[in-house]
Amino acid sequence: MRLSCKIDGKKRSFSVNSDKPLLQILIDDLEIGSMLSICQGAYCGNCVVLVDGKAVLSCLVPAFRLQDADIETFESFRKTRAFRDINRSYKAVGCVPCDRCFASKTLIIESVIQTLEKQAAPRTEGVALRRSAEIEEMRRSREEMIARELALNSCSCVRPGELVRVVEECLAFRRKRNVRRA
Amino acid sequence: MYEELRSSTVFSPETMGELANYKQKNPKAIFWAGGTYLMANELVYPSKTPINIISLDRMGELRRISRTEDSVDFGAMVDLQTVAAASRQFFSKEVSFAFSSVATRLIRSQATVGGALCARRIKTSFAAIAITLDASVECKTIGKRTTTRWIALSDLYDETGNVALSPMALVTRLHLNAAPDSLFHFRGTGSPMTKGDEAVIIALRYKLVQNTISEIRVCFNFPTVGLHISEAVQSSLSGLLLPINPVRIMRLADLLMEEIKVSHPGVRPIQVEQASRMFESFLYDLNTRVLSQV
Repeated sequence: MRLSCKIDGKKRSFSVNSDKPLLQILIDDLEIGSMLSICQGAYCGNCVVLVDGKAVLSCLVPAFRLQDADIETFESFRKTRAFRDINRSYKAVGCVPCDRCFASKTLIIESVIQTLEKQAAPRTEGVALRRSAEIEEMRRSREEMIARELALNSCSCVRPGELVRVVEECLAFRRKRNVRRA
Repeated sequence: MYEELRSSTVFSPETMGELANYKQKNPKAIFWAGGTYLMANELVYPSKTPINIISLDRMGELRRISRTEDSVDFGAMVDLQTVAAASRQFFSKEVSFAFSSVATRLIRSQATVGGALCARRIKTSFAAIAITLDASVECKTIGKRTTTRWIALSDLYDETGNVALSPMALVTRLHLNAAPDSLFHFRGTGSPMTKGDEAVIIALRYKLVQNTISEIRVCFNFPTVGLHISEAVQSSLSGLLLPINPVRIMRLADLLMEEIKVSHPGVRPIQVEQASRMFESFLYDLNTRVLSQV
């Protein structure tokens, strides 16, 4: 089939087998170096890319689902401010994922942050003391949710707790910046 | 590596009529919903024989969600993330948590209701949750005339817990009851996707009226083997007055273990043990709940 789509901001058109996974298109046809997955759909979580702004496992998306799609790989994501925010949070927390999973973990973190930004932040100011248990419960379930999402990448080079802190740090930083702008 | 490969043919119907025509001409064509199961298990690229794929992506009628006061219908192409989001408005906190635990958000956004129910080699916890909610599914069988029938979701699976659906049939809708007075319990160990031969999931729905258990539905999920709906345990627990004697709990757990071993020989001993412990733990939790009210 003739596939036309946008990859890292550039319009591309090429011939591929209709059931070829996006991961293999990126490796074979475009030689994108950040794609390091070889699991062939075993959910290793090392092949995350953004398709139309949504994070997906590229090994699970066939070519026929990509007509006119806007695909963003880590190669272009690393040039954005969103990446610099996450990188800054890695440094602040003092943990950096290994080279193998860095790209995917960073894109998963970005997708988690985008989801959390859409949700209202839990309000803690001015809440009576009797409700502190409720706040603690909300905080715990939120942390569990973040850890569950991040567990998609099976590489254990960084402790889950540290990655949760990276997400919280990055969220806090972006909120502060948005407040300053407003 | 890919020199002699032929590209698969993809057909994207927009109506059930188009789909039926194509499927009749190509009976071996496979239905493609979200692709999370097929890409990971059935169609590992490159495959040497080209296949005919029916992509259900453009079928608007399979994406509909409709609700009444006490039930909700999801089209087969509705993604599991949408189900999880909708369940927050419609079901209790526990049921909503269970639907959100089916997979990570990233997978849920891609996986669909139809795919989660009909995947042949891996059973997701979605099916187990839906069975306990007395779900039913609309099946369309394609032939000279396309026939439609509603069946209980538990009847979609055979005695070993595997999908008993003809290759010419398609699940088009899932009907879930709200069951507002019911309580729900959901626990799981291991990941069904990555370590399916180790994972165990238990979903239970029941009513508790004056410390008596009623209308209980129990479903275990052993992802690589199948679903287990325990009729014997359900009838033993129904009408039972709480708290339950620990000896009786032990007997019930033994009964469950025997039942699983007989009906699913493929389940590993560690999974049987885990299932039994999870079941015991649920019963002890019920006892604690009742005794703490005294």
